[in-house]
Amino acid sequence: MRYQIIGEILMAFGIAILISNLFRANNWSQVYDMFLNDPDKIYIEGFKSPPRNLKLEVIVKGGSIDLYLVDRRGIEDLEFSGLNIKLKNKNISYIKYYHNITYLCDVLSMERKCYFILVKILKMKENNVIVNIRITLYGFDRDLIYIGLSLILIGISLIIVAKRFDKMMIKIF
Amino acid sequence: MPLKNSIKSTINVVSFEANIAWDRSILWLNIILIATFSLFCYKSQLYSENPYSSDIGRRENLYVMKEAIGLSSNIYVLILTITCVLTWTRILNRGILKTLLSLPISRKTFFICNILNIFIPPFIIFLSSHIFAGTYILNHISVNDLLLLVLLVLLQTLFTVSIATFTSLILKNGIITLFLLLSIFTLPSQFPELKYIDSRSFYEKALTYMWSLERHIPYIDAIKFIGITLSLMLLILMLSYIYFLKMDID
Repeated sequence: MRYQIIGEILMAFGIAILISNLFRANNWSQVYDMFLNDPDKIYIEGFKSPPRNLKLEVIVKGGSIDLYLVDRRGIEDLEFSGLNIKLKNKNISYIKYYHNITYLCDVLSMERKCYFILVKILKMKENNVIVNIRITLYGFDRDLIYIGLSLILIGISLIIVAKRFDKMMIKIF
Repeated sequence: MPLKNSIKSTINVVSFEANIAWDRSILWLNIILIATFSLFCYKSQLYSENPYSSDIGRRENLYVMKEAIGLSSNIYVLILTITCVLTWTRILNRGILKTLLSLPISRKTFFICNILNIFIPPFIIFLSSHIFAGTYILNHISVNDLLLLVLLVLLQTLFTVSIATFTSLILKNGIITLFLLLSIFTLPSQFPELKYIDSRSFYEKALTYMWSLERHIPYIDAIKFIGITLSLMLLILMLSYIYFLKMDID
């Protein structure tokens, strides 16, 4: 009987997680504007992403750039001196690397962790390079769907086991 | 030995009352509504992360959590009030109280057990939803932050339960009590002087102070909120208890 109640509670929590995930799955956009003027410097934007699909759109005016998408490991390859950020060596452990871009549109499948966008000027045609980054999130949080479904399955298994066990006990005694 | 017996009888009465009050449908509805709404308040979006300092990230996460707790507390208070009123009026009107008190159970034990029975399940559901969201969806939340949260949610829950208990005992009618309580809990939106009974304002002030989310916060405001809530809760619970002891149940 106790296992059955625990199973039902787990199932209800699983359903709650799935329903909340359904409501949380609306599209969400954010725009980062960068004004770059130093070709030796690395410009950085950090964010923590949910495990959803991410559409990355980059528009560059006044030149072209190199863009790295890195996680915390990639940050260790950078040298911070005040607000100046430089590369420690030429190699950087990145997740995605886009070379010499003026326009970019890509779809990525993210995990639940911190990401950083590193931007470095490659060519300058004007005094300033203006970079416009638009990030759009869409789809469901994948991990929450797995957690919700797992809780429901564990709950159902507990309920079935508890009912079987009760029947067995009745037969034995 | 007498202490052991009294604990045993308290547990027995609580489990008996839980069987009466928390039937499957009510428990399911509570879990699904409270947990869904609590998790829904955490938006699935990008949270900015600072490469220089993780403390800024922590503060931002706590800020998001504070907003979510404040927002979801509205529906939590609503569900808690409905549960509390239904439990008390059912016990009073269906003669369950009279039957129970004919057994060797004192009114004191019954009152304590019923209060525990009313507030523990929604409290655990609300808290576990927010702890899950804080540690998994946001992370960066430390154990100290969560312990402070537990105390504040406990205080606010007991405050709501005490008001609902007192009104239910006095009025003894489910529908009238529900309407009266719902109007009491919506009053702060019309009269800012009654902000002390508004759960959202409570979490806003108390969590900002407890989690040090702002550098120069008016801490007297936060202390006032916690102090007034605590003293009102104790006073109303005492009054309810005294009224319950003297109450005619026939």
